[in-house]
Amino acid sequence: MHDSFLTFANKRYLWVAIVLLLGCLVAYIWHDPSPHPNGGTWLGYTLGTIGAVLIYWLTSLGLRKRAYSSNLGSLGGWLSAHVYLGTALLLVALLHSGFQFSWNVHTLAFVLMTLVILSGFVGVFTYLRYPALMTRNRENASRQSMLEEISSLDQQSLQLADGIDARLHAIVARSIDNTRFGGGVRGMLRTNDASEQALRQVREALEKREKAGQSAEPRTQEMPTMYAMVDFLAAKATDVQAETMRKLLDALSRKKSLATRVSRDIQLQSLMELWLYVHVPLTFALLAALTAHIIVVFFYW
Amino acid sequence: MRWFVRRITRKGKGNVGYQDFAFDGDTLTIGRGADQVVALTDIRSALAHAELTALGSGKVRVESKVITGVKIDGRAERNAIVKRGAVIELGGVRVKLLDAPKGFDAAVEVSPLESVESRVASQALDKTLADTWLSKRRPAWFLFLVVALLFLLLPMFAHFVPQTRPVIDIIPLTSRMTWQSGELARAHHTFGDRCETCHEKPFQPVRDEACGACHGAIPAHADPAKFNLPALGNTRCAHCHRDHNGPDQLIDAQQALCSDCHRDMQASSKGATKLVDAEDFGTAHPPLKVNLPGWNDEGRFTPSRVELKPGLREASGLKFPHELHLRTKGLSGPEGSRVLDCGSCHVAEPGGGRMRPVDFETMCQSCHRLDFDLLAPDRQVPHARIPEILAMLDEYYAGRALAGGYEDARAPIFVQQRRRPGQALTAAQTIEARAWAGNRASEIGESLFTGRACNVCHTVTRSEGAAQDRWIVDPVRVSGVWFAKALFPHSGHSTMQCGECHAAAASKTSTDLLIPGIDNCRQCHGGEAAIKRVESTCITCHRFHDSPYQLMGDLQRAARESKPAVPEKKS
Amino acid sequence: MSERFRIAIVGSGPGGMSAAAHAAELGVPHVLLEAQPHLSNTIYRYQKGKHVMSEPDALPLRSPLAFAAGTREKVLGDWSSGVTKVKTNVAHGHEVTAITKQPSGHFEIRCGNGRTLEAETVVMGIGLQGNIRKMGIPGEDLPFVQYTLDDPEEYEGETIVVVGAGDAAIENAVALAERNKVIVINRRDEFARAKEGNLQAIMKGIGDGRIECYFGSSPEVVEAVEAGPKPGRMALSTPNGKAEIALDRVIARLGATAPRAFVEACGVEFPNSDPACVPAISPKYESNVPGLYIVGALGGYPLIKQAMNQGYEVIEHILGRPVEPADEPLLRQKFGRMPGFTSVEAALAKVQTNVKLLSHITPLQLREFMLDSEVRTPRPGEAIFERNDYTDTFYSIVEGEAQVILEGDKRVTLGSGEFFGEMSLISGRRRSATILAGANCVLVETPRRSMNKLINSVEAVKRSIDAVFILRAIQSRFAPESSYAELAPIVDNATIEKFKAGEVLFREGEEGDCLHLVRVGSLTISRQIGGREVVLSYVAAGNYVGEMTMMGEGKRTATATAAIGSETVRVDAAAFKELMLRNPLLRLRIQSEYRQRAAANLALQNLPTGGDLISFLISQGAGEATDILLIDESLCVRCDNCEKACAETHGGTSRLDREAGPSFAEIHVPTSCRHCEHPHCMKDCPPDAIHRAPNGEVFIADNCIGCGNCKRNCPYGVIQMASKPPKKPGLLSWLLFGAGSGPGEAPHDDAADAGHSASAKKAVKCDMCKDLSGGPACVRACPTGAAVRISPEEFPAYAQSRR
Repeated sequence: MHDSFLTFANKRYLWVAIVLLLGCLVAYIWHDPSPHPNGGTWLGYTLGTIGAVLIYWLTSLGLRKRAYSSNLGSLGGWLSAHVYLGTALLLVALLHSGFQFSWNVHTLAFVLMTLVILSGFVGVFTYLRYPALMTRNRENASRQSMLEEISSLDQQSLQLADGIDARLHAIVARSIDNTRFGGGVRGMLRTNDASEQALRQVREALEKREKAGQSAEPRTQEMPTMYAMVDFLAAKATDVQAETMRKLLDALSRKKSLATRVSRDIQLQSLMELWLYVHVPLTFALLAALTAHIIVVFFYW
Repeated sequence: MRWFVRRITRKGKGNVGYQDFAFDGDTLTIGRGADQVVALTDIRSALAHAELTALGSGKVRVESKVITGVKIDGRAERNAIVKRGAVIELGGVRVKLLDAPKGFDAAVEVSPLESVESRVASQALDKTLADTWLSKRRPAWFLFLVVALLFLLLPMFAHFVPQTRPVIDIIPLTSRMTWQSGELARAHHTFGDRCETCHEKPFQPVRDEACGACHGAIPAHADPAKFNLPALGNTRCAHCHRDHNGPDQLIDAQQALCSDCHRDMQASSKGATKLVDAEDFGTAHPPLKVNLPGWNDEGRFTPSRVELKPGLREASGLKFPHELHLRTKGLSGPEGSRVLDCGSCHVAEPGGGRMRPVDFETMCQSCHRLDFDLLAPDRQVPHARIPEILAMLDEYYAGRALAGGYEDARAPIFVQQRRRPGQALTAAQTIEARAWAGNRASEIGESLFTGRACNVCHTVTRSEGAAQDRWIVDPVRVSGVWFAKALFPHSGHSTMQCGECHAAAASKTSTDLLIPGIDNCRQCHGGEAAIKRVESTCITCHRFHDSPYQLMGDLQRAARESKPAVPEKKS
Repeated sequence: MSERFRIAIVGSGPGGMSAAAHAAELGVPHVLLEAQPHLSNTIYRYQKGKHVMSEPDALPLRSPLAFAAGTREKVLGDWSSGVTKVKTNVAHGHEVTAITKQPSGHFEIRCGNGRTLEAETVVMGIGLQGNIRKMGIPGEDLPFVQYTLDDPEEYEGETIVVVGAGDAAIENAVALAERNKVIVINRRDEFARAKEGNLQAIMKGIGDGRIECYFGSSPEVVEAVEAGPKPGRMALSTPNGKAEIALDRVIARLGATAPRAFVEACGVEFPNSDPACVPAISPKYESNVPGLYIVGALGGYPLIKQAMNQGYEVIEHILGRPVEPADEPLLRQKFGRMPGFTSVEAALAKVQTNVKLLSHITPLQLREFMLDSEVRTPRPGEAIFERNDYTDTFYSIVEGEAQVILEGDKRVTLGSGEFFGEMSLISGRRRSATILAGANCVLVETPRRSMNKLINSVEAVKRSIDAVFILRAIQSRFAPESSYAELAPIVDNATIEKFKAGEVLFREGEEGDCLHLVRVGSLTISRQIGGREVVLSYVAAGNYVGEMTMMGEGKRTATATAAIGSETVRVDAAAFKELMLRNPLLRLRIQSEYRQRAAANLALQNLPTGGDLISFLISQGAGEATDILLIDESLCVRCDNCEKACAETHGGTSRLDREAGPSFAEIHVPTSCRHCEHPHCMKDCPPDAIHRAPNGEVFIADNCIGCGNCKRNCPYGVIQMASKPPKKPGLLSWLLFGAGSGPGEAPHDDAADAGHSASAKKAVKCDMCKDLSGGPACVRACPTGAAVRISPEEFPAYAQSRR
C-alpha cells in the first residue's frame, strides 16, 4: 500500500535512469572523436543539453513540491524520478565533459553538481533511516503531548519540592527554568536538558539521608549551596519529607526520560532536515555555474 | 520609607481592575509565603522569591532570594540596582517600578503575566531548524550571486570594458582564464589571457581573419580556379584547427577531414580535376608516383611524374652497378680491398630529410683514380672539368719536353737526355720537342676519355671540332626528390635497413628504379583505423597548405567577399 | 371600566408580534401584552451575535415585519423598528396572570401589574420558553448572580459557578472555561439532557481539569462577602457533605417553567400529558376555547418564520377572511410537474392515499415533508440512481412503477405506493442496486435529513420501512432469484437487533442458531489464538456473519463484535437452512463465500500483528469510516507537506493534523476526516449544509452558518472553525524572496491587524479534494509515499501488506 519513493511504481524511474545511462555510454564509446571526447563534439552538445535540461528539471522539484493543486503526477513519483535521474546525471555530465577537468568555471559547475548530488545521497539515507528512529523514540506520543506532560510534571514536582523545603523548591524551579528543548542550531543537534542536575542533587540528598552519619564526600567547588542543602536534608529530613522526596524523585526521573525523548526527537528531526540546508544552496550555486558555463561556452565560441 | 503597591487584576476583555495599598518599610518582600508583603500564588515562585529595597531617589535594589535569579528587563539577575521604569519578572508576575506618587518613596505595579505570555515564553524556543537562523534562501542567493558575479559577470565586464582588464584579469578567480575549456596550443600560449585576439566578438565563432592576422601567408590548399570545389574556398581554419585541446592537439589529423573532399572528386569537380580519389592510406589510396629524371630537347632537366610500377627504368646518365659495389667480399682498390655499404655513398642531409648528392672526389676517386702518366703516378686530372683536363695535359708535356730528362724511348733523344743548366736547345730541337709534347698530350687525353677513366661511369662521345670540346660527356642527374607531393623523411625510418626498401644489392644496372612502391609502405603503414599497423592519416605524408601559387589569406578573402570560388570569365 | 380591544395579543414573540403588527396595519384596535421591557424575550436572550436562521428558506415571509437570517441584534432591530413603524400598541411590563372567558363571550385579561383589560379575541403567542427558573435559594437575586450569558468573553480570571446541566449551561461553562475557573453544579449524576456534542465538550473539559464539576449537588445559599478576594460565596450540599465555594459570579441556566399550567388555566386542553406536546388547534389556529387562538411554538410551529406567518394568518382568520397557507405556492409549484395536477389539496391527498408509508402522518407533517421533498417524473428507462452511487435520498412511488436491478441483473418491479432507497438511507453505504424508472412514473424524492426526522418522529413509518428493509436485504443479499413468497418464512422471524460498540454478537464456540446481516455499522471477526483475541477480518454493513454454522458445524468458529454502534438483521438458522435446501444456488453461493472467507482468515492468522493492526484501526473509529488517511511513520519524514497541501488547496486552513493521533506498528492515524457511514457531523446541522458527494466525500457546503455543531459532534475532532484567509502572494515571490507567508503558513491578515476580522468563521473539514482532479492533495503531496487513503474493506489486504 505504502510505496516508498525508491520503490515507486515498481522502480519505474530506476529503469528510466538505467536506460538513459546505457544509451549515453553506448553513444560515448561508439563516438570516439579526435583528438579526444569533449563537450564540443555533437555528442558533447547532446549530452550537455540532456544534462542541463535534467538539472533545471531537477531543480524544479522545489516548485512542483509546492504546486499543490498540480496534477503533474504525484509528488512521490517526482521525488523518485528526482533521486534516480539525479544519480544518472552524474554519469551524463562526466561523459559530457569527456573527463576533462581543470581550474575553470566548467569544472566548477561539475564539482558543484557532484556536491549537490552527494548531499542528495545523504538526504536519501536520512529519509530512509531517521523516520523509523523518530517513531521508535516517540513511542506513539506526539511531541506536543510530551511537552504538555512535562509541564504538568513540572508543576507536580514543584508542589512536592515545596512540601519539603524552600531550597529544594528553588533547585527544582531552577532546573525547570534551565530545561530547554532545541533552541539554536547547536541546541537542536545536541540532546541535553537540565533536569539531569536537579535529579542528581535530589538523589544525593536522599542517599545522604539513607547513610546518615557518614561524612560528606569531598565537595567540588561547584555550587556549595547545593551541598549545604544536601547536608541539611541529610541532617533533618523527616520520614514524610523523605517519602515526598522519593515521589519527587520519581516525578523528576519521569520528566527526565520525557525530556530526553523530546530533545532526541528534536535532534533526530533536525538531523533529518539538516542536509537540505546544504543541498538547496549548493543547487543554486550550481544553477549559477551552469548558466555561466552555457553562456561562456558560446560567449567565446 | 513608604511603598506604594498597586496590584492589577484582570477582568477580561482587556479591562482590568486594581487595588492599591501602602507599605511602610525599606524592603518589599515578594514571594509565595504568607509573610511576604506582595504575596504570590503561582507555584513557580518561591516562598521568599525576591526583595526590593528602596534606596531613595527612585533607585531600588533588587535581590533574588532564589538561585535562579529574577528577570530584570529580560536578563536574569540575582542582585541589581534599578531605576524606575524597570520591569522585573518573577514567578508569574511582572513587577514594574513606577514614579512614587506624593507622599511615597517608591512605587511598584504588580500585574499577572498573561497565561498566553507565559505559554509563549515556555514554547518560545525553536523546535525545528526552520525556526533558527539557518536559512536556505539566504545562502542560496549568496552563492548564486557570488558564482554568477565571479565567473560570469566580472569576466564579461572585463571583455566589454578593456580598461578594467588589468584589474579583473589578474585576479585568478575573476580572470577570463577561468573560462578556458582547455589549455591552448603551445604556439598560442603567447596570447595568455588576451582572449579577444581570437574571440573578437561575443557569441561569434572564431573567424578566419583572426587566424589570418598571423597566418595569412600560409599557402592555400589548392587553387579554386583550378578545382571547382566551393568547399575549398570557405573551409574555416577551425575546421581542422581546434584550440583549447592541450598544447599539442592543434591539428586535427582525421583523414575524414580530407577524404570528405577527396572522395569521388570527378563528380564534385565536374571532371575538372586529374586527381585520383584517396580516402584511406591503407585501403583507398592510388599507387605512388615518382619524379622520373629526364631531359627535354634543350637538355634541361625535366623530371616526369609517372606512376611507380614494376619494370619502370630510370635514366640518370650514370653507369653504376649497385650490385658490384655492394659486394660483401669487398672491392680491391689502390689502398687495398674495401667493403662498401649504402651509407658509404648515400649520406642523409643534416635534418635527415633527403640524401646528399653523391660526391665523386670523396666517394669514388679513392678507387677510380684520374692519373694519366706512369712517370708521374700521383698526378691526377680534375673531375668533370674537360677544358681544364686538356689544358693540364698540354702544359704538362710541353714542360717535360723542354726540361728534358723524360725517359721514354719513343721520345726524341734530346728530350730523353738531361742537360746541364744554361745549356739551351737549338731552335730545331725546340720545334721538334713541342710537336712531340702536343701528340703526347692528345694521345693521353684520348685514353683518359675513351679508355681508362671517364667512360667507366659516363657515356663519352667524340665530336669533330675545337680541341677543348672534342669530348662530350652525357650529363648525370638523379631525381633528388622522388615524391614531389608527399614527404618521406629517411630520418623517421632510421630503424630500418636500407635493403628492406631498396633492392640495391641485386641491381646490376643503374637504370633499375630502386624506389619502393605503396605496397612496401603498407607493410608497416595503414590508414587511420589501421590495426596492427602504424595508423597513418593523410597528413602523415601530405600537407594541406601545399599550394605553390595561392595563399590561404587570399583564398579566404575571396570567399569572404563572397566572390565565387571560380572567378567567371568576363566576356 | 377597563378598556376593551378587538384583539389582545399575549406575548410578543415572532408570532404575537407579527399578529399585532398586522392588526395595527389593518387599523384593528388591539393590544400587545409583553411582560419584559423588550420585545420577543426568547430571541432577546440569545447569546450576543448569535446567528438567527430563517428556516425554511423556501417558505415566503408573510408579515408586516421584516425578517431575514442574520445576527440576533439585526433581527431584533428590524422588528422593533417595524413594530413602531406600523404604530403597534405595545404594553410592556404586562405579565398576564389570567385569561377568563366571560359569559358575554369576551375575555377578561388580568395582568401582573394589577391592570385588567378586555378583548373580544385573544391570540396567545407565549411560546414554550415560559419564565426563567431561578435557583429558588437565598441570595438568588444578588448582583453577581445572573440567569443569562450574553458574551462569555466579557469575563476573565474569575471563578464562575455555573448551575444547571442543560445545553445552555454546558455551552456557557465550556465557553467560559477558556479564560476563567469554572465550576459546574449538576443536580444529577450525569448530563442527561445534553446534546451529544455538548456532552463530549463538557466531559472533555472535566476530563482535563479545566472545568470542575459537582455531580449530584445542589446550591443551598449564595451570599455576598465584604472582605476577601472574592465578592461572594456559595454553600452547597454534595453527596459527601457540605461544600463552600468562593466565587466571582454565579450563572444559573435552569431552563424555564413550561407555560402549560397557565394555558390550561385558560381552559385550553392538551391531547396528552407528554411535556413536549402542544394544545390541539384547528387549521385556523383556534383552540378548543372559541375566540382564543394560539400561535407560535405553543401552536406547534417552532420556527420563527412559520410563527410570523401564523401571526399574520391568525389575524386574517379572526377577521373572517379566507387565507391560504404560505407554503401553498411552493407546493403548487412542486406538484405542478405531476400529471393530472388539479390542486395542492388533491395532490397531497393522492400522495397520502397512494403511499401507504405516509398514510400515518398529519396533514401538517405531510406539508412540511413535501416542502423538503422533490416531485420527480423521470422518463421511462431513465436511471434514478446507479448501483454504488453514494446518494442517500429516499424515494416513494406515487404513480407508475420502477425497476430494481439487483446483483446478477435480477430485476424486481416496484408498483405505486412502494418506496426504495431505504438501504443506503439506513446503512449509510453505497446504493446496493440500480433503479430504472418505469412507465409514467411519479416519484417523491426526500432528503436523508427530513426522512430521518420522519422516521424518528413517527413510529409507524419506522416499522414499515424496517419490514421492507428486512425483506429486501435478505432477498438481495441471499436469494435474488427467489420470490417474496418463498422468503416469507425467513423474513417473518427475522428481527432487527441493535449492538453498542464493542458488544459481542456471538462468541467462538457458542451454539449458532442464527446469522446476522449487518445493516448499520460494522463488525470485527476475531478468534482466540494463543490465549489472545486476534482480529481476523472486518465486516462492513451489507454483509453477513455467522453463516459458518449453516455449513455443517454447529458451533461458532469465531467471535463477532460490533466495531461501532451497529444494527443487524437476525436471520433464524432453521428457516435459513430450509431455504438453502429449497434453493441449491443459495447453498453454492454461501459455500463459495464461506471458502473465500476461511482462506482470508487463515492468511491473517499467519500474521497475528496484522490482526492487531486491524483491531487498532477499528479502535481508532475506522470501523465507521468509508475512507481513512493512514501514514507509515517509517516513511514519513515529518515535512508536513500533506498539511501544507491541504491548507493550500483549501483556503489556507489544513483539514488534517499530521502529528496528532495515535500510532501502532509504525502506522499513524492522523487527525483527519474518515467520512463516516453515518457522519456524526451531519446529525445536527441547522442549515443542512453537510452532504455526501456521489463518491462518498462528506463535505460542508457554503451555506454553513458557523454554529459549530458539527465541530462538537465530530468524535475525531477533524472539523475546525476557520474564516476565509486573505489572498497570498504568488509562490515564486515567497520561494525567491520570502515575501508573504510560505505554503501552509497562515497568511498574514491585514484586516485582522486593522482590528476588524476578515470574515465570519465557518466550519471546514476534509472534502477529499473532491473538486481536484487527481484525488486527495495530502496523498498526492506526500514526497515519500508515506500517506495513503484506504477504505475499511481493504484493511485485511492492508494488514497483510504490512508484514
